[in-house]
Order: sequence, then C-alpha cells, then structure tokens
Amino acid sequence: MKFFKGLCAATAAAAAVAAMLAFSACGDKVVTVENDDGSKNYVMTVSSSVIELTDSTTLYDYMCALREDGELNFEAEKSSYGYYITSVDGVAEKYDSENSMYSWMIYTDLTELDGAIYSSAEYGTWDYDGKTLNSASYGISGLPAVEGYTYAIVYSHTSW
Amino acid sequence: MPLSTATLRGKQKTKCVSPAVQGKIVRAKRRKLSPAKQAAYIAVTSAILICVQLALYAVPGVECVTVILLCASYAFGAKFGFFTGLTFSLLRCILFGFYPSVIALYCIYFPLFGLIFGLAGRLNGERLPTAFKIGVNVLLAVLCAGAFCAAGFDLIKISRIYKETVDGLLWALGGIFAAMLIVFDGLWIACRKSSGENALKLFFITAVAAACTVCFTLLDDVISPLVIGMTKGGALAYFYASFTAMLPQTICTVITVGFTFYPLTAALNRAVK
Repeated sequence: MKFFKGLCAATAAAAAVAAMLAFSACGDKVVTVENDDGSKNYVMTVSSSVIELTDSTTLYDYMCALREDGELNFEAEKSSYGYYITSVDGVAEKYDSENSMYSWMIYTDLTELDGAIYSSAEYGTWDYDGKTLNSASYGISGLPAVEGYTYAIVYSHTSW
Repeated sequence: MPLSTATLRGKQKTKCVSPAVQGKIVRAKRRKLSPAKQAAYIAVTSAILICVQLALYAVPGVECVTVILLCASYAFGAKFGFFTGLTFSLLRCILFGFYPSVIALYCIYFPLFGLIFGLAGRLNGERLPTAFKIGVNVLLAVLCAGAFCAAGFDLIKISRIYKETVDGLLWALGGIFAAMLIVFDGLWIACRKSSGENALKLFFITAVAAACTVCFTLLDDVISPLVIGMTKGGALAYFYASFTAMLPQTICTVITVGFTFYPLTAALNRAVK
C-alpha cells in the first residue's frame, strides 16, 4: 500500500513537472523585452513545435504561425524586396523627421548557413540573454526560419 | 531603278535603289541635319522615352525604352544616341529624384547604349561584317556559359529561400542565349546570300540589345550597393530583387526588338529623308 501511495505521488509529481515545462515552453514562444523607444521588442527562438520547418520555411511563415496561435500580433506589407513589418502590437513604423524614422528591424544569431550570409554585425547588433544578434541581411520573407536560432524584432530609430 | 537614272530624270525615286545605296543616302541626310533639328529630335525622342517609361512603370519586367532608343539611335546616328540617352537619364532624375546610384547608373548606361546602336546604324544597308558575327557568337557564348556556370556550380551564395528561383532563372536565361546562338549560327550558315542578311542583322541587333539589358541589371547590382554602402548579404538581397526582373526584361527586349526593329527604323529613316 505504501509502495502504491509512493508510486501515485511520484506519478503526480512527474505529471506536474511535465505540465509546468509544457506551460513554460508555450510562454517562451515569443519573449517581450522593454526598449527605450516607447515600445517592446520581440524575441523568438525557432522551434518545430510552432510550425513544421522545411528548407523553404521563412521567418514570415513562422511569424504567421505565431500570429495564428495568438502569440504575436503583427502587420506586414509586400514590396519588391519581399515582406516587411509595418507594425507589431499596434506600434507602427513612423517618420519623425525627413531624415529619420522608427521602424521594425530584424536581428538574428543566424549569421552563415551553407555559404550564404544572413546577418552581419556591420549594420548593428542587439544583445539579448548573453547573445549578440546581428542585423539581418534579408527581410522576413528572405530569412529562413532555422530550428534553434534566435530572431528579434526590434523597434529601432534610424537616421540617414 | 539605279539612283543615277532616277536623278537624270530630275526625281529621286529612292524606293527603287538597293539597300546599300539607301543606307548611304540616309547617312548623308543625317549628316546634313542642322544642329537645331538635331536638338529638336533629341528633345522629342527623350520626351517619348520618358512617357513610355511612365506609362509602363507599373508593369514589372515590361519596358519599351530599349527598343525606342535603339531604333532612334540606329536611324539618327551615334551622336544623337549618346545625347538622347543622356537627356533621357537627366529628365528621369528630374522627375523621380536625383539619387547618386540612379544618376551614375542611368548616365553611364543609356548614353553608352545610344552610342553603341548609333554606331551600329552605320550598318544600315551594309552587309554585317564577319568580325561582328564572330563577336555576337563570343558574346552569346559568354552569356550562356556564365548563366549555366552560375547555376550549375552554385556560384551565387544567396539565401536558401531564393536559391531555387535564382537557379531556375539562370537556367532559363542561359537557355535563351543558347537558343539565340544556335539560331544565329544557323542563319549565318543557311543565308550565305544577301537575301538572309536582314534576318542575320536583326539577330545581331537583338542579341546585342539582350546582352545590354543583362549588363544594365548587373551594372545596377554593382553600382547601387557600392553607392548605398550595403553589406555583402544586403547586396545579394538587392541582386535577387533586381535579378527576378532581369529575365522578363530580357525576354521583353528580345520580343520588342525582334518584332519592331525593322518597321520602326524604316519609319524613322523616312523621317530622316
């Protein structure tokens, strides 16, 4: 009887831990980070639990899957260079002068894959959780969503 | 009817003279154009070019600037071609804005394009020299080999999202140049007599125009990233965006030049006369 009680307790504890892990995993799909420009930044670590990942899965596809799950609310528009983010959670890109604007930039730790360069520190970096993410070389529809890599949508001020 | 007989009768019935003589007459008349007339022709042609570009601006991959500038330069000469290309480029900058990369690209490409086809206008009524035929062979072979090698040996390290499209476009572009090379050489062999000369010349002009269209995109892919100061990855993304437009533009050039070169140049030659 004592053994049976112990077994039940161990099973319950294991189930509780599994549930907690599953819950925390769901919450980690998109992490929000406060920034200095009156908005939040959004960080995603790509996981096949969100969408089935293939070689042709783009970051845009991944973000759309997150939007369908209610994890991320964003708007994007198509240009000749592919899709670009116009707003996240209602915060839209905006010009604050003729030569400067706030816009949504992509940073990632996916730097090089199969000889192709996907991001470069030359155009800026953004630090998150001890990692340095580089400015992406492609837009969201040109970047592949690769399992385990981190992508950040950062509300940035740019001037030229 | 020979020109001398027609002149003896007091009328110049140039319709009856041989193409070679017609070409000489056109070139002689062109030389006699007054500077005021030349300036007026350049202004009108530039205005037509900008109107055509604005009208087709919203249709990706379709453009008629190439064929109009080509035919006008061919009919009116190298000086006309150069200055029309330059005027059109500056007019475009006035309308769309003076961006350093666009100024550099347009002000280099279009005057050179006008110059090349203005010089090609000297072939009007002449047989295509063998050196030119060999030149077209080399040009088409280089373009064809370049496209096939870039696709086959995976020379363009672009995002894997774009890889399939770029490779497909490269194979298609290489295929177009290979087909042009085969048809050109077939015509060269088959048409030894002067009857096939016009078809051969049309292929020569079309091949050079298609090569120029490819060069325009490649020049843009070098100038714009350099002027803007893009990273290697950014430059490749820019290359992809412009490259997807290159194939439809090249096909458009081949079709428009192939079908309208003779009617347009004939009409312009009549204007010169």
